[in-house]
Amino acid sequence: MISKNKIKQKGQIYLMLSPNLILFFTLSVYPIIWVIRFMFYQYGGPGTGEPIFIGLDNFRRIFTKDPIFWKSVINTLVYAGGKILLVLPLAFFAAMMLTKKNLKGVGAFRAILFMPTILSSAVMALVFYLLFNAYNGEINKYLMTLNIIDQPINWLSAKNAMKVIVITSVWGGIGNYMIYFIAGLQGISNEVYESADIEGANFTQKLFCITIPMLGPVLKMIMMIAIVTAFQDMSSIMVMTEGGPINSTMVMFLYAYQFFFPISPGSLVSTQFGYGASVSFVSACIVGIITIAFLRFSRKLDEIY
Amino acid sequence: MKKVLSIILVLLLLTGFTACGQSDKASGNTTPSQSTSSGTSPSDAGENQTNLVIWTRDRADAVFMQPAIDEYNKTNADGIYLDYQMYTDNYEQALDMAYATNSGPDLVAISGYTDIFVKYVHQGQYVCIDDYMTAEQKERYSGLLAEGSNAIDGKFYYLPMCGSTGRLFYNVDIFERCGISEPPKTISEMTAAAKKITDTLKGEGIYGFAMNLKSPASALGRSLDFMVQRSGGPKQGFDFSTGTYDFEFYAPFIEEFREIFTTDIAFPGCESLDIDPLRTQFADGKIGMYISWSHADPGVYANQFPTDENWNIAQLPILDGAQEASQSIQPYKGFMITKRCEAPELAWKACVDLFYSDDFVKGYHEAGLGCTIVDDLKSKVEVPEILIGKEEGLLGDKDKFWPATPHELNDQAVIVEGNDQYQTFMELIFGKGDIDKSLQDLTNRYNSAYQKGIDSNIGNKIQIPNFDPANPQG
Amino acid sequence: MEKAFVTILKVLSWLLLISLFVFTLYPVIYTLLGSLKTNAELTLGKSILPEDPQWVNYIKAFKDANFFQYGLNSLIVSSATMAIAVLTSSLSGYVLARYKFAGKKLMLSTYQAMMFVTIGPVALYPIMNMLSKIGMEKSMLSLILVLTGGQITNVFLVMGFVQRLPRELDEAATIDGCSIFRVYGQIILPLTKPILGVVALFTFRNTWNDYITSLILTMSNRKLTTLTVAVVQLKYSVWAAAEWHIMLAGASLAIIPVLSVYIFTNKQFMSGLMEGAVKG
Repeated sequence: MISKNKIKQKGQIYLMLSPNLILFFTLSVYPIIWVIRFMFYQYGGPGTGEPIFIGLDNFRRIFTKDPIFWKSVINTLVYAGGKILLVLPLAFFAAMMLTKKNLKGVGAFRAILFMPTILSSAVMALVFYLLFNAYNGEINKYLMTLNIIDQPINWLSAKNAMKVIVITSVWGGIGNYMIYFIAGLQGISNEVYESADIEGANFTQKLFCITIPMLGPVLKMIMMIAIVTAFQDMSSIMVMTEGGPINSTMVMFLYAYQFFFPISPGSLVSTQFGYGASVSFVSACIVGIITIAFLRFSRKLDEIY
Repeated sequence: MKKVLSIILVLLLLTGFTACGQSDKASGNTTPSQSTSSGTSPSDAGENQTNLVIWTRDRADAVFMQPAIDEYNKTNADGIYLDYQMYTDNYEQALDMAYATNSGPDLVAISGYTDIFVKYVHQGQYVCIDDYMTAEQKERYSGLLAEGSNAIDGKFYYLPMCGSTGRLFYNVDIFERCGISEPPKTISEMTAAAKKITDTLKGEGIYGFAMNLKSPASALGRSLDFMVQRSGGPKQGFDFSTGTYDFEFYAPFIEEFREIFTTDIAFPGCESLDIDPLRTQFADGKIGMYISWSHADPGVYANQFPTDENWNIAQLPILDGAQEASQSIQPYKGFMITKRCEAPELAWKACVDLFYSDDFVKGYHEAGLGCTIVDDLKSKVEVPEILIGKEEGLLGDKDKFWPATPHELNDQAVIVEGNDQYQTFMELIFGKGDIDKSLQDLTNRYNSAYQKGIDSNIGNKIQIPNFDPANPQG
Repeated sequence: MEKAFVTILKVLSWLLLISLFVFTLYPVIYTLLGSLKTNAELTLGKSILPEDPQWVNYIKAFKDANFFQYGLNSLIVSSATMAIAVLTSSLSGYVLARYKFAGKKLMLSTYQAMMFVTIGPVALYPIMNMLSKIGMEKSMLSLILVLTGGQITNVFLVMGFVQRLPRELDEAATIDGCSIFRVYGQIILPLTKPILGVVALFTFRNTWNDYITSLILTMSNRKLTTLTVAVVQLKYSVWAAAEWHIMLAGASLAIIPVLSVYIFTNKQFMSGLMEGAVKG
């Protein structure tokens, strides 16, 4: 009787897990298996002949004959670095300002700053595209009216596009990371601060000796999330610059995407699925390496503190 | 929380009901820029009607096409009903998906974008109309066979209603104001004229030259490619007489463009400028000259961006000191029958009776929507209203059909590693890199890709000894 | 001296905070107000307020651009995704929190690994391929399921939450002879409402705002296009060059629904995120 019940229970367990597992396998695992298979082939898609096995040739091409890919790697690093360096301090600052309990309407203030996260990044990228337009965009209009500049700045030129992209994603991200910081700050009990006050610590001392160290674990998680999402950010770039004039805002995953789908309606696709698969594989590895490096680095920091 | 969820659930139910009602309506292909309000609708089709679905990407000629199709639907004796659907966004992708899933339309309109041609012919998606053509038709259209554009292995897949090529569009008043009496004939004159205009009129926000370099292939494919051919050079880098790629010829052109784009002569922001915003600026009188397709832009300034500017069309400038050769005609506007079509003979009949009929082609030409290229029609058509006084916009005797390059015949046969030619030109034009070295490297990369395609039996060697750029079909 | 320094610091901090508010609010206000301007006003105009509210822009967007259909699609798809996500993640989260089974370690570690391993939207190609082989690439159901996905973060959220629930409750029920399903349905589900609310909210938002996946999956079937995709596609239409007011009206249509829901549920959004952050 017992074993029959147990079997029945196991059956029920697997049944309950199955919907989620099926979706996970087909939508997350299967594509990776596909990529790992096709990165060793040359394949132009259905109708262009059978996939041709070419071994490591795609990788030879990536590492020796593809300056655009490595440019995209650097662009991705610049983008991620710029975004993180701007977003985290600003989010932390906002969190610090909005964690005081005696502030009236703190909820409303937080809600305002958090709002960009609930809006579609693609739609807002479209709006920012209009705002930063060289001729009719509001930004240039204001700058000219205030006499800060006398010629309209071409915001989406090869030189400036990356800056605009970073600003757009910082806009969308401050609220998100602010909430994480608030959660972390709320986890630091008041008593620690109180005893520090008793011992006469001033603001800077409290900040650096209590707040930041005690945020350690939360900070680690925030950095992980920030790094991984920054490396994957694609939709706002795709909408605003499509990889930017002369590939100046081309990021890794957008570059891989181009071998499968058109970036914008009407743009030509040179379908090279095998090569695209290998590019996305290398990109994923690069993200993986950076993530692991960061984990090692933060473990060392943990030891210090 | 509960409240929110229940509100959403109620909304969901409501929308579920209304959605059922909605899904029966409309063809679902409406896009922001058009409304498929046809005079007739599929439900009018009688018992013995044959419904043929046509997909097209063009919206600019809807004003001509739709009434003509409606008329045909009402009056044709074969019981054919043409369901004309416009896919203005993601046309190629939609076709791709349709082919991959064995669905899609009966007839596909092609308007000069060969990327929906070659690849799908190789896949067997289109019906070869050679079998349906009468001997008379074959004779008449023989001169219009363009391998890789409307035919493969000498067999037609569609008959081109018209042809297009590159032309220089310039603002007459701006030229006069700067003391330039004639549009430039050589590329150095072009740079000089652009410089003069910018220097003189920059204060008013007027610049001498612009290009829609947001998409290098699109911008340079309509300009640089033709200028090079016309100067006696290769077609998209391929030299037919030697049967190899050689980009050395491009160097002087790249230098001129480099000067225009790196010394502030050009309209600011060209590297992110798309063709429609460019045309808007030209219509506003802010651009001295630019290069675009002969079939598209005249219509744009009549219908889409009406303008009071005094503009005209000129032949493309060529290399200084070169002999004028010829530039290729891109066959434009035809209808291909897909293998899915259940009544291909009827579809062909519809094409012949309607789209390829002299009246239709004549009407299309005279509406300024596309230059006819059928030899015996050329003398019978009138100059379209929008091109009166701008006759250079019509196809001339220096516009000819060229053979197809290896990469046009099969893009899988020439897979270039690194930047393709247009991306390379783009970087060079904006000042990056040494021109001669880059062009040499480009040549090497294209040739090795070409060779690779030949070696793996995907592509074929192409060589036409004694090829003459002035007489490409010679 | 220090007092003066601290006061200056305080004033500067407040200035910075206020500029952050302005920075955050400005694009949204521009969109909403701009949708009511004429195109000439937008390109040449000086003030931020529209002179004469052009509600006709919205009517144009609804009629010519078929936004009613697209909005409906977004609503249906987002709601359905939300329901399925809640169901699948809570089922898995509960099982993972309470029961041992063969392959549990493998499942957990794979899920964790997949949080950081990604090949980007390229994954959509094999998925599309697979869908067209079974003939489902044009159905709304496929769109919904693909947008639901593996729900890794939500599974962990639910799992963590259930782990904190006292075991005695469901142990008592099992002893009474309830099947796991009944325990799940009658005990766990009601108790996990808070976390499921968070899952629902975030899933709805993510699906409504999704661009790339929805774009690829609706390319061959325009009837399915979602609102977000339709609005962004305006950039590539004829209107982009010359008719910004329509684009802004479209953008407003895309953001107003979410904003309205947000006004009532912002606390839940933020606390949900915080909960996930601290315990995750």
